[in-house]
Amino acid sequence: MASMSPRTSTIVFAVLMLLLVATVGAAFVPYDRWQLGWAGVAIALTIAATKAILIARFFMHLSAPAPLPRLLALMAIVWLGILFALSWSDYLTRSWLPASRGWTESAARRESEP
Amino acid sequence: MCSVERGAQLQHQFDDIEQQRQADTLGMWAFLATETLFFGGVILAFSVYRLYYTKGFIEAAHRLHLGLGAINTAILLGSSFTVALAVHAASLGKKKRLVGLLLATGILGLAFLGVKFCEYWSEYREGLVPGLRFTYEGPFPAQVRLFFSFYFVMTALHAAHMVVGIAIFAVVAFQAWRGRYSPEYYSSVEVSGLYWHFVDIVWVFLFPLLYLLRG
Repeated sequence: MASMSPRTSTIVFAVLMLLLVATVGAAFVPYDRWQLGWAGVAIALTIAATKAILIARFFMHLSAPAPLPRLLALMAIVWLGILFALSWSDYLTRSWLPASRGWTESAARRESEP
Repeated sequence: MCSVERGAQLQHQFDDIEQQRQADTLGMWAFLATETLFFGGVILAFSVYRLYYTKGFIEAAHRLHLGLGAINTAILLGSSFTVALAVHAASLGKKKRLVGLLLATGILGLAFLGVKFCEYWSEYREGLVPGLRFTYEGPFPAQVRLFFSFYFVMTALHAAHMVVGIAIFAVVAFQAWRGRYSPEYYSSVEVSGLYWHFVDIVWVFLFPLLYLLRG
């Protein structure tokens, strides 16, 4: 059965902690000032995905010779991708149709006047 | 001695111990794939409202205790590290080290829940718990309320998984102490470790989504 040597595990753990420090640090950048809110989200999620890949690849032995765990991990990501792609293709395109704009705009207006 | 143990541990439906090991691991991965979609659903809903109610959600994120969240992330990453070391100890048949590392993992898990409880308590005192005590009167109150509904559902679902994981490690540590695992067959350690790493990965995404998207 595959298992990581303590040396590899220690290196992975150290990298994970560095990424944690990096992502917390990146959260204090005032992205809003330059209207770069999306960049803050992208940085945070990229670091999270990197951490997840490190944990899966090393701690969960996804690089071991047995192919089936890799296949199931891939299936999980594919299904998650379908869930997000189909849902986002709805929510991101609602404003394209004039008839559907009332829903978001009236909700937003109600909120902006507390 | 070894072959006797192996004979006793091999279930009759498998050809050999290697096939049984692979089936054990595969079963856990299949479960984790369903868990991915379980958490994926609530994360998807959160992401849609994060886009629609960006300002309110940023306002709400500033009410969370970023420091405690970061400490908890470090604790959880540390517990994944001890699990990885435990699996290695099991593969070498080092019983004492295995039991110690499994107990350390459980203690780190309890520490995480303790910090989480402190956070919940201070959020309760600050009146940020929808349905129970919500007295927030800053900007975007309805959006902040929605954020906190998401926050409590997502973190409580995650915490429930932690409670299950800690219970599993208590049993596995006890079995390891009784000498139930050998370097030839220690699937219980391996499989409960996979589950724990998955719970860690869920938190790796919940932490930035809830605490860090504040600018």
